[in-house]
Amino acid sequence: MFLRKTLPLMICFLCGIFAMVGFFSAEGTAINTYYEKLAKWNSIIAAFAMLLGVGNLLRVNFLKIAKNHHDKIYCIILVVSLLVTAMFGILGGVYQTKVDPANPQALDMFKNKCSYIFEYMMKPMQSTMFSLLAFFVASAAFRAFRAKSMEATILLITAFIVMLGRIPIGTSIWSGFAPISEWILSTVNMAGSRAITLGAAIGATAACLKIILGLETRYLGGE
Amino acid sequence: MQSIFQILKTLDRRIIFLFIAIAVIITLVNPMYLNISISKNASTFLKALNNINEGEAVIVSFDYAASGEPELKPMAYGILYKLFQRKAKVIIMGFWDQGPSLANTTVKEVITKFEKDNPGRKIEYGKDYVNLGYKAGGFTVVINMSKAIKEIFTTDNNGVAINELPIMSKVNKLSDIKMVFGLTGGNNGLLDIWLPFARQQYNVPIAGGCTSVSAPQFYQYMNSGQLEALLDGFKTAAELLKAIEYTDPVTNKTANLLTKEVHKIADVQSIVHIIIMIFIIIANISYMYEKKYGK
Amino acid sequence: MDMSQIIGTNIAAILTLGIYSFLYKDNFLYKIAEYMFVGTSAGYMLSVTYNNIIYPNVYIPLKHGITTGDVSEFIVLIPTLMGLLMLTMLIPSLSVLSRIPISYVVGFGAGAAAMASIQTDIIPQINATIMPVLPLTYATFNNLVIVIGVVCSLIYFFFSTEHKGIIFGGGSKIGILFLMITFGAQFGTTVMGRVQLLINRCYFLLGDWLHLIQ
Repeated sequence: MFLRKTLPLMICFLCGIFAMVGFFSAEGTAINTYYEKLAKWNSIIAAFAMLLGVGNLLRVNFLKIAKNHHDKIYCIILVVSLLVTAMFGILGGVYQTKVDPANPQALDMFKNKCSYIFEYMMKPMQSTMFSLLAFFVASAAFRAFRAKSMEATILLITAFIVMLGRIPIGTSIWSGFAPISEWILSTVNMAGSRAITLGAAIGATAACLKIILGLETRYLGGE
Repeated sequence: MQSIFQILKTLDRRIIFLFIAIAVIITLVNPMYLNISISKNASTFLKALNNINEGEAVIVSFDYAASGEPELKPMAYGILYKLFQRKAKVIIMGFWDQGPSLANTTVKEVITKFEKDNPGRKIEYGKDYVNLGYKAGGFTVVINMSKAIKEIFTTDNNGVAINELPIMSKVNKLSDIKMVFGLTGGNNGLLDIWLPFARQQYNVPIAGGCTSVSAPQFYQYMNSGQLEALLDGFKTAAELLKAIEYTDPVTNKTANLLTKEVHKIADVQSIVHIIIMIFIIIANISYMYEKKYGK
Repeated sequence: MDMSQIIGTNIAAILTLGIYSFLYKDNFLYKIAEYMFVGTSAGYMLSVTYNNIIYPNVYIPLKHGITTGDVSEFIVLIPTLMGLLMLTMLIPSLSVLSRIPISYVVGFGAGAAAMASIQTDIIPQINATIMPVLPLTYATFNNLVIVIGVVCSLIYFFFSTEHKGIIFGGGSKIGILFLMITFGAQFGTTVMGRVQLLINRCYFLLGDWLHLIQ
């Protein structure tokens, strides 16, 4: 019970209070020095959190392969591409470096391979995955965007004015679209966004305080 | 009439996909090169860039991945070109793992163009610019940078010790930085790291670039003065490129950075937007017809 | 273009078309590309984490400490051990130990985030909303619109009391109008952002791969 709940909540409370006090500490004070040291440790622990994510991904896929899942082939592709990319990246570096053929090094064969995978596989795949959204936005707008009420009509008209104001053809049709669109974005939209931000920020601050005071323990992952 | 609306109601979404794809392909092959006018946001951003003087250190933070590159790369291109024009000391870093890699590609392109336009000047790594690479930890990195940048960034992206880089000789802490240009593709960038910590706590001026998707939420920070300037998506990126001028060494005429590629892309944006609007209008007419005359 | 660039461009084009084949129907090409994308992204993230964080901040200081005998370098063992404790989450019998570094990160993050939120999103935004609205000129008209918009939108989100009467009823109705315009503007800008990605890929396929455009 101590290790499961009490100790983590104590650490969370102490770190949270320290972070809040350290935020206001003046440079050169002992609190400020330790605040910066603890902040630096945070970045190292965050790196291990990423390792955890990758480790979990490998664990899930290895289990699927072991259990002869129907997507086994794809899991093998995932694991192989992960391990190959990681091998090239860790042994040869992530960025492009100059390889001197006259002065061969032990790990030369691994160099520049990770940057090649990034440039010709990762980047195109990621861009393409996200570009699918353009098609789905168009089809979703066609199917669902209806002026069923006054509010929906206002939403629709605003969307049209903003879209026309932000494309060259809109300003070619009528030069007034751009200033109206700009006004909507910098005044009306800004007011609505500010209200949403204020509400969200107050909610976030309350949630952070709940975490620090131990009233919220879901981040520990349950009993 | 009713049968047309019935067809539209049950239209296969792949037809819509096909229309969009055809529109993009045709416009890319036959662009119109419509006029792009410079907006207030782009002018304000250019003013912020022109306030950077020779020898002053600036940070350009590449906080985006390949998904944000289409909109943020043109911004980065314009910003880096102008900073090299102003002879600033450019420090590149990122809070996203892909950011510094994408920065390398962009910087190479900018240097090639810049050295072609300015035959007397050579941009040197370590002297005019440096890539400090990716750092995890978000705001904790900024907290540490406020005291000692060289303690948190002990080497650059290529593993070279930071003390060996001439550009970092006078840059020790965040207060030595004139301005931070944060290019953000989502969380972990301008909103959660640079604005609350670098700007609010350590008073470092921040100018930002963001994708169109997140643009509406940044206007409030411009209004409150927390952001010095903002590039809100591809539109203002294209405008900034048009606003940045240089003298062509071959023709001796004033030219701008707006390339035919960027101009074509702006045209395609126009056409796709019009098609989406037409689809929405057709759908609404069909809905109103159905509402009035029944099924 | 050298051979490696030509091969790379062709690989990129095949993967791009494989993912776009999903628009017609879910198929094995798309699944291969999808799983490969997840694998390479995770491998890349692992490489960057090792090269940019673990190697310079853990390995180098420890190596320096061992070779020179500088005891102060060994302080980096504390966050390293905490990071290793985090990895125990993968072992069910030891997973309780992972709560220690998680509570450290969450606690520190929550403390800093609470202060940052107040300092960035609450106080400056309230401060910026307090603006002159009289005498009525173009500038002050905009200020009036912003003040009314922020106050009425906040009234709309206040659910502790019924939205009746002039203040709560009328205020929330005006608030809804402002919010609808906000969401309409957000839709308008979202379309541009998504379409930009599509244009970029088509430019690659038509330009860099098929050389149909310059």
